[in-house]
Amino acid sequence: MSTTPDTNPTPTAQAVRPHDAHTLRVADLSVTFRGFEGTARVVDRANLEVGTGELIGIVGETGCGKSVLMRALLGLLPGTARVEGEVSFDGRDLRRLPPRERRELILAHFNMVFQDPVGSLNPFFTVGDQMREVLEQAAKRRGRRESRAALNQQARALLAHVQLDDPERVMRAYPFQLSGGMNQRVSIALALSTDPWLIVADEPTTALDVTVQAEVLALLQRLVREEGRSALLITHSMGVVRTMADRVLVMYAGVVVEEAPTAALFSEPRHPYTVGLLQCVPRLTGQAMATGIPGTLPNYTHAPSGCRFHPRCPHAMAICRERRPPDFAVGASHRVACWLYDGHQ
Amino acid sequence: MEALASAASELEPRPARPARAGQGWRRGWYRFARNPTAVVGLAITILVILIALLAPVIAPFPASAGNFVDFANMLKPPSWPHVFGTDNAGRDMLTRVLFGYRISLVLVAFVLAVGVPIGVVIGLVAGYYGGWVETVLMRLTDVFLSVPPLVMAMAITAVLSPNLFNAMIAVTSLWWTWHARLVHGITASLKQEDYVDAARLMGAGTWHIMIREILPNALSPVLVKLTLDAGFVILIGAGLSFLGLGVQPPQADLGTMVSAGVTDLPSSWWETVFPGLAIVLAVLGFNLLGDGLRDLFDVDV
Amino acid sequence: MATSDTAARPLLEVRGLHQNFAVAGSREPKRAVIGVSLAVWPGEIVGVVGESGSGKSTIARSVVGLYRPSEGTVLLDGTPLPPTARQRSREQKRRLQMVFQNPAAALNPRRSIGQALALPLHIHRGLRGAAARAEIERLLGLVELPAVFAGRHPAALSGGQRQRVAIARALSAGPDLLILDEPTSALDVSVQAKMIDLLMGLKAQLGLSYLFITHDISLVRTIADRVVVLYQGRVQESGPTKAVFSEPRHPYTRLLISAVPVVTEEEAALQPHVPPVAHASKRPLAPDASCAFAPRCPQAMERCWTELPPLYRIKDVEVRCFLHEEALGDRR
Repeated sequence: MSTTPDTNPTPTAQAVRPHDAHTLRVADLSVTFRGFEGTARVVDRANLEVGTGELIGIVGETGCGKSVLMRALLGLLPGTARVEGEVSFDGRDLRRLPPRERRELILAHFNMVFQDPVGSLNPFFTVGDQMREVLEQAAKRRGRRESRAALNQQARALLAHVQLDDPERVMRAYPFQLSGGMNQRVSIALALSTDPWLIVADEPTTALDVTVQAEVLALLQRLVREEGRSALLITHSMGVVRTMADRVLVMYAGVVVEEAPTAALFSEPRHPYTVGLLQCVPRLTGQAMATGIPGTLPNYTHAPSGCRFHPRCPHAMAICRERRPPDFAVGASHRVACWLYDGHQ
Repeated sequence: MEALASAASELEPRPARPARAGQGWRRGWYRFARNPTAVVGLAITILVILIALLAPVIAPFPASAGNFVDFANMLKPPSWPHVFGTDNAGRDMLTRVLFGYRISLVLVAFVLAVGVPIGVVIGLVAGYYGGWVETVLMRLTDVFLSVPPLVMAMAITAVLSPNLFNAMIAVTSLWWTWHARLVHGITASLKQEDYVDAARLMGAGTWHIMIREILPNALSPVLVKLTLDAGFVILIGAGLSFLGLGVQPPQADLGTMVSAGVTDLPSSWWETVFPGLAIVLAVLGFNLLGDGLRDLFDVDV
Repeated sequence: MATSDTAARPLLEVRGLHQNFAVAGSREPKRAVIGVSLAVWPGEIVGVVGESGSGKSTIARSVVGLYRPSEGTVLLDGTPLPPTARQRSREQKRRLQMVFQNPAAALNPRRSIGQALALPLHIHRGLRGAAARAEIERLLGLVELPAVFAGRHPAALSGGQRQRVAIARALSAGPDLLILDEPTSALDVSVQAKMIDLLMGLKAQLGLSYLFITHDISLVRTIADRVVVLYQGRVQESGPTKAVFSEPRHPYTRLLISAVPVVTEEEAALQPHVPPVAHASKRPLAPDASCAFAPRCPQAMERCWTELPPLYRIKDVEVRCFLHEEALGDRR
């Protein structure tokens, strides 16, 4: 992709804004819902680690659980969800904290950018109103009260920071008066207003045109690299993670089936699902793509035994039906949840 | 492997929709039953309907429903055997309340069975055709809507003689307007749906599109409104009777009873309070049911 | 495979299509499609590609008669079609069918699959009862869905399955040309792959032609014989897919191709390097006397702001750009 920076620049000693270093660790996270037909395990023992300055991509198709995983991290799941496992921020398990403290911690260090900017921005208020409100809340949490003029200034600065020219005009506008790309930049600005360490972006560019998508992704990448933040990018597009992420997690049916540094994932995909998925992506070279992955997504209330992918896997063995594969290491920081790699240490 | 839908929405894996119609009802009930007030509303509604149907059978003193006087027994407070007391003609209040439900529900049934279809048809035609048809029909609806229901009812029953049947006509003559408006709005938006375009491309005619494509989708809100209407109709009927424009004695609907009992307040409170409570119960039941149905349908489709 | 040498004329021809929409509170109409011409020869797939505002979906609906074109004609096998679907004959409607973008919206939620399919069978082929049921089963088989789905409602089906039903419905009339409006945009990539495979199979099996509308550049590269690139209602470049992609001439086409997030190094090597334009220029554009892409074009010249470039023809490719002014005959 030629309008954006290198695919995988190492977080070098660029002018990293002295943002505090933190770590987020997710261990054995599972999310279960109870429904009409029984209980559905929508995320099954996911593991994830995010360090400072990292851009992690979580890629998977509809229903793979990536959005649920993200919401579990941020404490945004409805009461009907049962969450097990550990979500540790700087060593403290968020799940064990009293709700108020957890909320404070999350508000202070995380923020989100959603898929549909027009849906996540309030249509009844101007951009300026919404930015001021968020900035005011953020200031209050730090124990400060800001004047309206100060808030406006901060808001304008943020809007300029996300490469919107004429921030003043944008502040006065309502979301419906702005284009999709501009709205998404506003959403990013709103997310930055709390100065978060971790930005979680859920399909941030899916609703945008491809040319605008490239620009918005470049912006996100810049924010992470140059400001020492971290980001979790959730998407269904393999192309997007290849462009953006340092590391990629591939999810299928609630399970993280593969995790690797981006270059390794694309040059040497290991898990049969990853391989199958890549073969289905239409290519600019024009060569015919694969005819799909046989079978369909499982019903979560009656998930397949053992490896959840085995009914669709061309390499399924007996053990795949019986036991869920653990993560096997297949290279530097490259792990696969697949029995094919048993003993590949 | 059956290719049924799996988690389309990521938050709560939407259970795969059922294969057979029977299972659809069960699933609908499961969702409905999660809402306690809705279940209560349903229970009350069923109770009220049963009372209305079985009144002649379960009433302790059936004669009290009609021309009956027993001045020896008049204005007895609630006690055995007259659990709701007696009125100023010595008639058993419990019996009269039970029969009162009958009349109120007849009113509801007539108004809804006649008024709703008229309104739906007018709204459907206006919404689909648009243009001058829509303008004419909707302005006509507006005219009827601008008349306060009680005033209209009073006017009609004053011209024709005041009785239950004419009261029903009066209320019906206004009731269709709400449904016409509702269906008009829905139709106007539904006619732009892709599946309507698809049907048109397939060669479907106007009739098919209106009746087969649009109407079924417009019916859920109508159904919800219908249950909510039932409560209102009872109240309006009661209001008319209270003013002496509806049912005539010795027949009594709940409204008449309230009205008749007012003069004897506060000493013989049971003449007013029990019919009044009966009205409250019925209206409450219908409203809760309507709310429950609306919650059910909102999540649907 | 373009069979322009064996067939006498295109199966579908669009000439000078204009589509304007009235805008509430403004005297100026919105011009969604401006002077678009294209052709689909028998057995071809023509890909129409563009972003939001390009007018591609509008073209689909105008061609099929759901909108009355403001100007221009649509010809089916050389015969001009009446502007709206209502005016067209059953036969004309049969030959030209459409698959909509959103499979959930294109199927009536209150009607079963069987009922949805029975309608065109009844109207176009007069089938009822047992004969219709048999045909419905056959159609479902064509799109690889089990026959039992006839009794189901759309809500019970996944997105991919609904789209298959939509395709079956479009096929039930027995068309010659299918207009597919972003048929796979709402689908996951693996489901899309299956769907494309199905569509290609049906095309071969039934001798269909496709007008395929999409925003996915890579997809168009993979399946289309010829491609039409739209920007703000006008054709900017069109020609055989391979020719357009191997040497994209219009700066917008180059931008589109360069912006695709590809998955292999091989593809990345094919992408043109487009110098980014930091901020789109704010200079106002004269409506019919300028190139709409000028504000974002890294190679914009003074002329681009004051003149509308015509479509220049270079071998078998057409480009609407002054950079390629080759006086080998130009067309508007």
